Amino acid sequence: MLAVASNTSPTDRWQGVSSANDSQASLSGACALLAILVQTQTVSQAGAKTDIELGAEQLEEIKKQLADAIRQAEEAAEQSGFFGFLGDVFGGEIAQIAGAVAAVAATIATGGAAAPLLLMTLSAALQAGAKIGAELGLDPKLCMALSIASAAVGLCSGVGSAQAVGALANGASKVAVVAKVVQGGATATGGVFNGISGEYRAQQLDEQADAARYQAQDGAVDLSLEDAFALLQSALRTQQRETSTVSAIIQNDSDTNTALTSRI
Amino acid sequence: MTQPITSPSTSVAGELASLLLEIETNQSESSRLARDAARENYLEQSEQQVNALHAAADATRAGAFISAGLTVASGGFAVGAATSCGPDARLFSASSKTCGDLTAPLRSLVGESTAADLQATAKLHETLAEQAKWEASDASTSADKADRRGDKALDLLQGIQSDSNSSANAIIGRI
Repeated sequence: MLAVASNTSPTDRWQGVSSANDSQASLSGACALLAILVQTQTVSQAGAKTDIELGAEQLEEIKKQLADAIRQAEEAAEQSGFFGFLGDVFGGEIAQIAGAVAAVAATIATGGAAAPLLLMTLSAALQAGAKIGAELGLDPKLCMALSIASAAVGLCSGVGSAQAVGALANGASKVAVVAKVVQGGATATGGVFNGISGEYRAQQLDEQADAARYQAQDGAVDLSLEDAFALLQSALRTQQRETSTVSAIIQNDSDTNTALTSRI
Repeated sequence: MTQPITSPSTSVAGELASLLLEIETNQSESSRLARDAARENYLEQSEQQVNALHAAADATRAGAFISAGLTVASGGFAVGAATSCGPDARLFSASSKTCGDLTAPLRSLVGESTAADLQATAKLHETLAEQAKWEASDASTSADKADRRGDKALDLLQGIQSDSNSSANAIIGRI
């Protein structure tokens, strides 16, 4: 509250001097107040700057951890895909081929009189496969193998005496057993690979969860940084305002002193 | 003798400015409380999202292990069926078929469906976390605006005080 001498007469000069001394005291008080306020705001600013620096360091660390998590998730996805492919090959293609071979062998083993006919059909199929494969650009060695197999099967069917048919059935039975064992083994192997693939898939999800956690931490640090910047801005603004306010007080005291002095 | 020199109008304006300043201070404080609450909510929702994702990963792992175990068992029983004969072969074959048939449903039940459910939960928490983040940002903006309005009220108060001081000095000059 501004307080001034309201009834100062020319004869009461000592009172005027006393008022000037009071103004001087209030001036010193204002300066002291300004010093305290500036000191407080400086501490505030230093705290905000420290928070900003710590936040920036945390952001750097979190970004590294986030990048690591994303990289590990990608690696786990690659491993999951690779083992999933192996699982599909073993549990799918190989098991199906072995199952088909076992079925054909079992049919041959139990076909009896129809075995030669089945062999002829198989020979024709192999021959056709070799021919079509060659036209489609299949490996010449594979085509040659198919042709040889076709010829061999055809030879067996051509010389199908009763004894040969019996030996063939016996051999086919063994082939069927082996094929079924291979089918079961391939299925089991495919299951193992699919399990490994699932484990990597789970690891990938875990890494993605960690990445989500790091992103959340990143967001929290962002919010803290916003706060720190706002605090710093507020401290600077307040310091400027306090300085201008105290300057205005001092200016007012000075003006009052000047007015009083001129009136003495 | 000294006495305060104030005019009634200055006092009313000063009181009004003080009231405005107090209101804006309260508004700013309220916005900051809302921002803190939204930030807490953001962290909580993010944590729940992460927990749900980890649970989904665990479900996927469990489904994969069960599926692998049943597939391996199916293959083993198939080998047993191939290498044995008679009732044992039929038993092995039936066991192999049962395990093979159970693989896909159990993998879906324990692994895929549960994981998908948990991932949907995680997505929900992610959305809520994002919403909380927006609320925190809005509250920060509101607090900043209240601070600026408070600054304006303070400017007004200082202007009134300055005018009062100028008037007082002018009166002193006229005494």
